[in-house]
Amino acid sequence: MIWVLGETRGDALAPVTYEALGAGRLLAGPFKRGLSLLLLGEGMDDLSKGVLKKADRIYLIEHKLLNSYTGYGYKKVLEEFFKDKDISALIIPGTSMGRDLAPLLSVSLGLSCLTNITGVEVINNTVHVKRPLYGGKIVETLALEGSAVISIMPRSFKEPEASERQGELIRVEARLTEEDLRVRPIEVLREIERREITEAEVLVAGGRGVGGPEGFHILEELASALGGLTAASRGAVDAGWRTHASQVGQTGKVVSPKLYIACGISGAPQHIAGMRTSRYVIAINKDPNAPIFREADLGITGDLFEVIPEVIKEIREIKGIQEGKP
Amino acid sequence: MNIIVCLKRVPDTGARLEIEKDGMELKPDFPWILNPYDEFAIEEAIRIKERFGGNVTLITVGPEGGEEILKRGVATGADVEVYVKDPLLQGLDEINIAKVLSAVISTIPFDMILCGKQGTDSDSGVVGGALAGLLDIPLVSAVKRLNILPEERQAHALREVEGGAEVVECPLPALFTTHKGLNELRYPTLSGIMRAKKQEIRCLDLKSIGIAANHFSNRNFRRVGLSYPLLNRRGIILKGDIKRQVQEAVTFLKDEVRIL
Repeated sequence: MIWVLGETRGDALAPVTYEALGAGRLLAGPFKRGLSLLLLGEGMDDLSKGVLKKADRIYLIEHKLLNSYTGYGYKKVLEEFFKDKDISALIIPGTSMGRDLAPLLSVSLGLSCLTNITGVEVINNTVHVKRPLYGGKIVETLALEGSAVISIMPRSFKEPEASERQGELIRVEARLTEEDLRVRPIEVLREIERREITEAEVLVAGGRGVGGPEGFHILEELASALGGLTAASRGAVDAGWRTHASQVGQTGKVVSPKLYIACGISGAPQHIAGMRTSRYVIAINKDPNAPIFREADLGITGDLFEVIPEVIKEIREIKGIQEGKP
Repeated sequence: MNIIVCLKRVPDTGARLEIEKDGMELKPDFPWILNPYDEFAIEEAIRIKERFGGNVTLITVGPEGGEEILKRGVATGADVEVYVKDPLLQGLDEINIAKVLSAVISTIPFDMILCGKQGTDSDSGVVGGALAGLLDIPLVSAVKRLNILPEERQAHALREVEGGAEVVECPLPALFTTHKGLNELRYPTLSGIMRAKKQEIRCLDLKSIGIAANHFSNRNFRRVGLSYPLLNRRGIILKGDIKRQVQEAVTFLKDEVRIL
């Protein structure tokens, strides 16, 4: 069986859960196995409705101590669950949860552990998986020769097509005590304004060329006009202008948005490594020789404080027309 | 507080990396550095030691080149250096590296273990978590703030999660993996560098820690090749009048990217 561990975000399934199901489908074919989704926590019935046709079986593993993620809590319950089940692959979202859980689970289930997988391909009946190394400078292809816990990079896989048949819903009651958790969550600090850059469709990123924290206002305006988020290069983070949570690059995050707009970023190798898998790249830079232009589909040579307001004006005009406003 | 810090050397993050003709390995002409995330682990360990006493033990495992990163850590204030050096460690996967570490660490008394949250080479972030699992101690990964309460034998840690952060509490001994932002790094002092030069590294091999090659679990994957990320960029660089450039860019957003 190919197993997928689901993850929720607020009151919905996280997009990466659908992507993990997509990766699961790609594996289920060559392994000639079914695909099962695991949802942990209480009150998952409504959420499971949206994925009934995306998996062959959906297990709702219920316990109130599973409502928020704990590594040892999840590990204990899954260890017990998998005792009498066969695992060809267990796919986990490569999120703060998955990065914590994958190694713990691998050890406890006695499986190999592969993280940050961005692609699955079948060549001569062998499953090949891809992952970025060195922050994305190099891609490694691996042949899968047995069972493994596999974590996938967000935004790397497509949601699977819905099948004709409705998946079977199976309810499992978990056994868990407070002591099992080992690590106890005591507080969640939500930053309402900040969503996660690895999950964004559009990123407007700024570097040293932005000049200071105030300079990012115009980038935020552009991001919001395009329905995206802002990100930053290491230069802008090390200068204290932006938080490390928004850093793209080798000591930050690897991102794969549909559109990446690099503003005032020269394009050091460790930054390029983190944004190279973006679908489209636009670079705005004063220096016509900036290395970032070599990584861009389209380069605009000019001062970003002149360019971006113009872009925002044009976008608003187009959107205004679409919405029937003058 | 007796603190163990696990270290790894990685290719310099600023280096351009090239692939050998056979497509299987990197050309070895790049400089090595201490894994950047491990630097935060060493710094945090030294801060905790300065505050509460105890000692800091650095451990690295690998076939070669570990001496330099251990010396760097001692120069900034760590006490003991352990190096498991063995040709059998070449190319070993993360789960088995964690097994080696756990074999060494189970002979040393400790209150906490710090590891970088991931190596900037494979970026896999597996060793720390696997080590916690093998030693059966609490794990808090990617911490950005750490508060030790020695009397209660407890720790409070803050870790980044999607759209915010989470504060957790756990008993010691525990393992924490360290994230950028946890602390500000210090530079080695001259006296530290002198001390590091004089101090002897405790060198071990797999046999001396009771591990034979057949103790390693199978890795169920095999490298087929390395490649460069596909770059299929149009590479059009506009120049001149800003308004004209912007209009072309907006057309690109509309017709190619299709987000307008």
